[in-house]
Amino acid sequence: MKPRVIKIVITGPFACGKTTFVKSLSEVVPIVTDVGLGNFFEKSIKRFTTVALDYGRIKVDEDLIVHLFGTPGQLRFSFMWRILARGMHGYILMVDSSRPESVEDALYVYNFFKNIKDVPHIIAANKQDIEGSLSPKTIRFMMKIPNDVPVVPLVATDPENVRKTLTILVQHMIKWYSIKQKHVIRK
Amino acid sequence: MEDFYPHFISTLESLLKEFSRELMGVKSIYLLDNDGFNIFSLYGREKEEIILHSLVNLLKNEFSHFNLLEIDDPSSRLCLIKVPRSNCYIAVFTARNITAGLVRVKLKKISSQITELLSSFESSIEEERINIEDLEKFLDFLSTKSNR
Repeated sequence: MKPRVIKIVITGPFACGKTTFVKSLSEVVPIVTDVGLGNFFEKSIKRFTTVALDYGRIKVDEDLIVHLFGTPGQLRFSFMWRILARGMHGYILMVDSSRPESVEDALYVYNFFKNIKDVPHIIAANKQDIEGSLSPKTIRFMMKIPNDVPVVPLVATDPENVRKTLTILVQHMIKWYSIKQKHVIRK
Repeated sequence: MEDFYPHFISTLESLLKEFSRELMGVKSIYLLDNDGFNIFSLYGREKEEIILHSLVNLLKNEFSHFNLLEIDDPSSRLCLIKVPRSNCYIAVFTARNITAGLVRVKLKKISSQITELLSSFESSIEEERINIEDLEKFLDFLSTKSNR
C-alpha cells in the first residue's frame, strides 16, 4: 500500500535560513539547489542561493512519510512557490531577524502564501543568536501577525532548535485541523 | 502520446531557436538525433544562472502544467521538467563547458535514487487529505527523536 504523506513547506525571503532548516531535518540526503550568486548585493549576504527547491524527507514509519520542501527566496524564482505549495498541509514562514529589511520581504512572501491556500502555519524568527536581532514579539507587531498564529524564536544552525520549531508547527496543525473537522461535523 | 510528441518537439524547437537568437555572443547548437532525443546547448560567456533560469522560465511559461525539479551535481546543475503523460523529462542543465543546455531524457536513463525522489515529489503535489492520527504519530516521532 502507498504510504500516507504529510507535506510541509518551508518558505521565506532570501537568506533567511530555509536550506539550513531542511538539511537539518532530512533523513535522506536532501536535494538542495544552491548555485553561486551573480548579483553583487546578494553575494555580499550569502555565496549560494536556492533556485528551485530544497527537498528533504522524514520517514516516520512504513506507512507515513513527511515531505519537506524549501522554497527559493528571490522574487525572480517565485514561479516555484505555487508549484511547491500544491498539496501542502502546513508551512513555516522564516524571517531573518537580524536584517529588518527581511521582514518586509517576508511580508510579501506571507501574503502570497496566504492567498494560495488556507493551511496552518507558524512564523519562525531565525538568527536569534545574532546580537541585536528582532524579537518574535517585534516581528509579530511589524508583520501584523494574528494572535492565533505562533511566532517562535529560531536558530536554524541548531538541529535541536529546528526540531522544536517543527514540533510547534505540528502541534499547531493538530489544533487547527481538529477545529476544522469539528466545524465540518457541526455543519 | 504519439500525437503529443510532434507538437511538443516543434513548439520546443521554435522556442529554443527564438531564445538563442536573443542571446548576444552565445553560440547555440540544436540537434535532434536518430533516437528522437533533443539536445540543445548554449556555449558562451554569459552568466550561467541567468541563462539557465531564463530557459526554465521560458519552459514554465509555455508549458505551465509541467512539474519541475532541480538537482545539483558536483560538475553540473540539472533541472528536470516532467513531460505530461509520459515517462520522459526535459533536463535543463549547466555544465563546466556548457553555459546552459537542454536534453530530453527517458526515465530509465535516470538513476534509481533520482527516480525515487522524483516519484516522491510527484506524489507530494497530489492533494491528499490529512489525518489527525498521522500528525499525532509524527509528533510522537519528533519527541522520541529529541529525547535520544
